[in-house]
Amino acid sequence: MKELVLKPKKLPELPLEAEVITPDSVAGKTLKEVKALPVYVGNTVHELGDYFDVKGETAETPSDQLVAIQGECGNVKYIGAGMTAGRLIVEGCVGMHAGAEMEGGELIVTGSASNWAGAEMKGGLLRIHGDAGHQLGAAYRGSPEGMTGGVIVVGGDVGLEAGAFMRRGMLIIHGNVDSFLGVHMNGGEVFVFGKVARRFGAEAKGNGGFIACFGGVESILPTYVYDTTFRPDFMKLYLRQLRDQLGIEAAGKFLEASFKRYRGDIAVGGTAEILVVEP
Amino acid sequence: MEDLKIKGGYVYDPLNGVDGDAMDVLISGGKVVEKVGRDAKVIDAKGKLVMAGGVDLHSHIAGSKINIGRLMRPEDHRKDVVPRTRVTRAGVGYSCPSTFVAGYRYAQMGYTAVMEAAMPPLGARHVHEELNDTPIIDKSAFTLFGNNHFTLKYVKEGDLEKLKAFISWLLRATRGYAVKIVNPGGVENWKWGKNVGGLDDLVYNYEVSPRQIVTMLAQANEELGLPHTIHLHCNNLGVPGNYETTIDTMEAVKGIRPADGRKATVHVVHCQFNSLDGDNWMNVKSGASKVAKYVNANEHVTLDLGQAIFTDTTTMTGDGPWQFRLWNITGNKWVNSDVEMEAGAGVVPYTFKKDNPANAIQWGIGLELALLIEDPWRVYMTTDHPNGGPFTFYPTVISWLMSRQARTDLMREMNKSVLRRTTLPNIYREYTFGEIATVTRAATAKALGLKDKGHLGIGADGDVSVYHLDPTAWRPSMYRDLEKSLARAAYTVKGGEIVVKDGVVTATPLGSTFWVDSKIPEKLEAEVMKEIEADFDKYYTVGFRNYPVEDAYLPTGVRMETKGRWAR
Repeated sequence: MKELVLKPKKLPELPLEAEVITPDSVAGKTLKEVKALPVYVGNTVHELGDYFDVKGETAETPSDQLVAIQGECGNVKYIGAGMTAGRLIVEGCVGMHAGAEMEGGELIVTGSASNWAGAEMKGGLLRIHGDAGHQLGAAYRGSPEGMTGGVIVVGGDVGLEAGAFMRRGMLIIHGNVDSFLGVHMNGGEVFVFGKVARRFGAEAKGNGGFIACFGGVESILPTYVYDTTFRPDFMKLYLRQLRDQLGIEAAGKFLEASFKRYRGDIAVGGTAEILVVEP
Repeated sequence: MEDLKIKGGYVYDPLNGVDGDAMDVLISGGKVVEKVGRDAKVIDAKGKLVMAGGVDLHSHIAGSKINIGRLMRPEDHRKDVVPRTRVTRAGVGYSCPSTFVAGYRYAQMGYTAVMEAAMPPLGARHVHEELNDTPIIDKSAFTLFGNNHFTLKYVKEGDLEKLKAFISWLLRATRGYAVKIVNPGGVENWKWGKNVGGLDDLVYNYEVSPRQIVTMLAQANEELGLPHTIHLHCNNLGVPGNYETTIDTMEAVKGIRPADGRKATVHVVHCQFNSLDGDNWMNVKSGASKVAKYVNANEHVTLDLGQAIFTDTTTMTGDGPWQFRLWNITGNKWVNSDVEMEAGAGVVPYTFKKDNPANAIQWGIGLELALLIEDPWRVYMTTDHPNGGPFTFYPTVISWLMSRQARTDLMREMNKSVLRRTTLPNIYREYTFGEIATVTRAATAKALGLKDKGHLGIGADGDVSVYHLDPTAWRPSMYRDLEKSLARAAYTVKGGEIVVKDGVVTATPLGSTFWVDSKIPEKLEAEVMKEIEADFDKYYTVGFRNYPVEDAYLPTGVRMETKGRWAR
C-alpha cells in the first residue's frame, strides 16, 4: 500500500468542502495533479494544494492507496465521501459529511466527527475513535433509505437521529446515544454499549432490524411491546464476530447475557426488535 | 431581430403536407415568411431533421401541485443539480424541476410550447407567477372545473346557459385556457372520504352524476367555441377494469355537436392509466386494444398517452382519492390537498420498475395506444410529466414509437407480463418522422386551437427545432442515436430567435401565456355574477373582488377572444 500524506496548512475560516480527499480521486495521479484537485470555500473554487501540504506517493488503483491526513480538519467537509476502496486515516477531527455515501474501503478518524458522518453509507468501514455528531449514518432529508450497507464504529458518544431510515448495515456505538436512534429504521443492526436516550426506534418498520442496548436505556417507547426474555444464539455469534473481527472488546463481555425483547413500532405495524441486556 | 434562413434541412411539416423535403425555412419578425433579406443569418441544416417547435399539451410544470412535489422531495433535487451558466440560472431538475430548469430543458429538446394541465382556480396567481419564471416556452394553464361548486350547482339545476357564463367568467378570472376536468364528482366526494365508482354514481349533496357533469361541460365547452375541447381525466383512474369507464365516458359525449372547425368533443388525458383490464392488480392486463378500437371508430375523441417510464418519479394529480389509493399501495410519503369549493390534489412519489408486472403492463399499454390508434392526429405523445415520468424522457418514448427493436430490446429486460398481457409484442408498426412531427407538434397544436403553432406554413410562429439527425439515413436499429439527437437539439428557434445551439441554451426570452376571453351576454352576466358573489360571501375565504387574476400577473399574456353560441 502506498502512502500519501496531507498536512493541513492554514485552513480558511469558512468550511472547506473537499470531497476530493479520497483514495479514489488521488490514485493514478501525480502529486502535481493531486495538488490541483478542486476544493470549495463558499462559492469560490481553490486547489487542494492551497490548503494542504501534499507528500508521499500515489498508487495505481484506489485499493492500494493509503491517504493519511496529519492534523485537525474539523472544518473540512466531505472527507472520504463516496470512497469505494483503499484506506483513509485522519489523525485528528473531521468536519461534516465525512464518509457520506461511501461504498467501500476504510475511513479511520482518530478524533471526533461532526454531523452526517457516514450518511447514506453503502459499504465499507467507518471507524471514529472520538465522538460523532448528529445524523450519524442517517438518510439525507427526504430519502427513503439511510445506510444500506457497511459498518460504522464509534468510540465515543453520538448525537441525535443516528441510523435514521437505516436499511442494512451495522452501527456500533461505545458511548452514549442521544434521542431518536434508529428512527424509521427498516433493517440493519445497531449495538450500543453506552446509554440510549429516549424515543429510539420510533416508527421503525423492522425487516429483521434490531437495536441491542448493553448500557441501559432511558425509556422505551410505549409503542414497543415486551414479549420475552431470552438468550439468543444469533447474538452470541454477532458479539463474537464483533470482538474477533472488529476488535470490539466490550462485545466479549456479553457473550452469555440474556436480553429482554421488545417488538415494535406497533404505531406503524413494525416488527423491529429492541433487545435490552439483563443486568 | 435579424432574419433567419434555416437552409436545406429535411423538413417535416405534416399540416402543410411537407414530408421530409429538403427545403429552406425563412423567418422574419418572429414569423415564417416567404422571403427574407439578403443579410439574413443562415443556419446550415443540410442533412439535418427540421420540424416546427414541439407543443406539449399536457404537463405539470407550474402551480401548487408541482410545488408540493418540490417541497416534499429534496432527494429528487439532490440527484440532479443544475449549475448556472452565463445565460441560465441555477436550479434543480428531475421529476420536480424548478421553473427555470423546466423551461430550459423543454427548449433543449426542441419544445417551444407547453400547457400546464391543471390549475386550481384559487391557485391561479401562483400558477401564473411560476409560468412567468418559466423561460423560453409559450404556455397556458387549464382551469379545473369538474368538481367546482358552481359547476355542480348549475349541472344540478340543469342550466346550461348559466354554466356557460360561469365557465367564461372563471376562465377569464383565472386567465385559463381550457376546461380541465379531473375525476368528475370523485374529488368532491373525496371531501367526504369517498369516491365515485363509475359514470352513474352520485355526488353527495348535489345529487348529480359524473355523466351529467362531463356531458354538460362538454356541451357548454363546444357551444362556447373554446379553442380546445374539454380536457378530461376520467373516473376510476388506476383501477383495473377501468377501460370500460373510459369508453363509457367517450360514448357519453358522442352526440354533442362540436364547435365549428373541428370534429372532437373530448380529449382524454394520460389514457394509459385509464386503459386497464382485469379485476385487480394481480391479474391486471391491457385494455388498450379495446380503447383503441373505439377511438378508431369514433372521430370525436382525441387522447394522449401518459406513457410510463421506468424511473423514480413523483405522481401528482388533482385526483385526491386516487393519490390516497396509491399511497396505500406504495406506503411512500403522501400529501393531500383540499382546495376549498373547487378541487383537490394529491402527491405521492412513485417508482416504475421493469420487474414489476403491473408497471411492465402499463408501459405496454401506453405504446399499444399509440401504435393501435391509426390516426396520429388524434393520439399525442406525453408522459403526463411527471406522473408517467419526467418530460426529459420524450426522446426515449419517441425511439420506442419509431423502432420496434427498441421496444423488443427493452421487453427482454422486463417482467414477462408485458408479453402475455398486452398485444405489444405482435405490433410491428413503427412511426415515421412525419407521424412523430404530428403527435408531438402539428396535432397537439391543432387540438389546442393554436393556429400559428405546430407547423411551418407562411404566417406560422417562427418556432423551429433542428436536430443532428439525417432522416434519410436513419434506420430503426439506430434508435439510440435518435434518442441522443432528439434530447439535444442542434438548434431551437423561438419566435425567430436562436435559443438553443447544440443542446446548450443561448438565450432566454420569456414566452407568451395564452388565455381565453369568452364574451358573456350582458344581462346573463349580471345575473350570474350576482349568484356567484352571494356564494362567495357565504363560503369562500377570498373576497369576490380579490379573486380574479390581475393583468399584472401576465406580462406576456395573449388574449384569445371567442364568441360562443348563446340561447339568451
